[in-house]
Amino acid sequence: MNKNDRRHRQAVLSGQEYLLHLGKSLLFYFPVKQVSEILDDYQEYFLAETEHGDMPENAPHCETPKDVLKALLNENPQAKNYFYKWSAIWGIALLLSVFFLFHSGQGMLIATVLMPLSVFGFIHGWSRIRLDADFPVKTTVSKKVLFVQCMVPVLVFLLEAEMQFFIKSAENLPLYIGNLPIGPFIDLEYAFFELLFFLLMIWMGKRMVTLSVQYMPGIIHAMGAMLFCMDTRKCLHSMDISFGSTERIFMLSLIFYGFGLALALLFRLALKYARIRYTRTRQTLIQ
Amino acid sequence: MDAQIKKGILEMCILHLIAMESPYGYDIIQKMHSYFPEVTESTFYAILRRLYKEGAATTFEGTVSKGPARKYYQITEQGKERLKKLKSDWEYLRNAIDDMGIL
Repeated sequence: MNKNDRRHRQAVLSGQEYLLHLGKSLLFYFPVKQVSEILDDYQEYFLAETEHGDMPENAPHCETPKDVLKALLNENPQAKNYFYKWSAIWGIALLLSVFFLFHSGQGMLIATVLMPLSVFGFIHGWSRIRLDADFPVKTTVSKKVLFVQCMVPVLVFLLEAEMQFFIKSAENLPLYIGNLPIGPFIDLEYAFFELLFFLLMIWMGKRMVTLSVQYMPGIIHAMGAMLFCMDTRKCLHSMDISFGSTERIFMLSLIFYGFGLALALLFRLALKYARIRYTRTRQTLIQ
Repeated sequence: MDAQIKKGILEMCILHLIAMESPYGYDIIQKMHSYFPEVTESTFYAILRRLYKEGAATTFEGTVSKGPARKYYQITEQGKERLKKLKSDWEYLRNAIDDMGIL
């Protein structure tokens, strides 16, 4: 690829990115069909600019997506109602899922399903799949993220193995680790991992909002791991570890993680097939 | 320029362009830009979409050699009526302003 080709490709890709960013912000206010029509107009505009040689090297010759959204909202003030209606529906679902999260047992399982679904709904996930397929920019999950994802089950199983070891050797455990009694030490360790998985969830969430819905399974996966830590801590609080315990109680926490992982894999499959379904037949800028 | 006045004028101009020939979106934007440089393409596209939605204009897809499909606009009977009405409104306003000696 020579220098001119590379420059041209950069300009073309920035056009795609522009459309993707514009599309994402429009989805909060307009139905996906209308968003597609608007983006088609802009795509045609960019293609015509490229043909006429008016396309600058690094950015499409156009207003910013924010300005376009502002102009469209001025033209269609009723679009704000669409935003409020869907935000309210998914906002309530999100609040409910937070409520269930702090209820042990089945409540936490309901939260595992409801929370990702409501977040997915809140960002208009199903419409975003179609948009991602139509304007494919960075729609695959990066290797770095996949590596972090692979580390999650390793950490979960190490923690579980550690807990099983503590239960089996409860009578031989030292009472203190450094100056800290063993109970709070383990509690702190689990709190640390809970925070770590929570931060991972936020990181994936940011990627999902700014890049692609393909990061959604990653959020569910991290959430499953976080619930595992939360539940284990609850078990620890409700018993004295020095008197030993049954393995079954801690295995229940592992079920939370397994449930999250299974849900994440299901989501990954659903997203894969949804993308194939929505692959655009109309010519895109990348071609 | 007042937003309401501008809206009416832009709509009339776009309808006129579509009535004269059957241009595609980019052509319309470029021509309109040369007369109204301060108006952004999102405003022009919004008007075009509204005209289409209200049945004043229709579209068809065409291609140029080896190029991608383009959306061409065509005026409808309803659009012609609307253009006629807009023109007569504008004529009436212009006469009234001339008679009053404002400009």
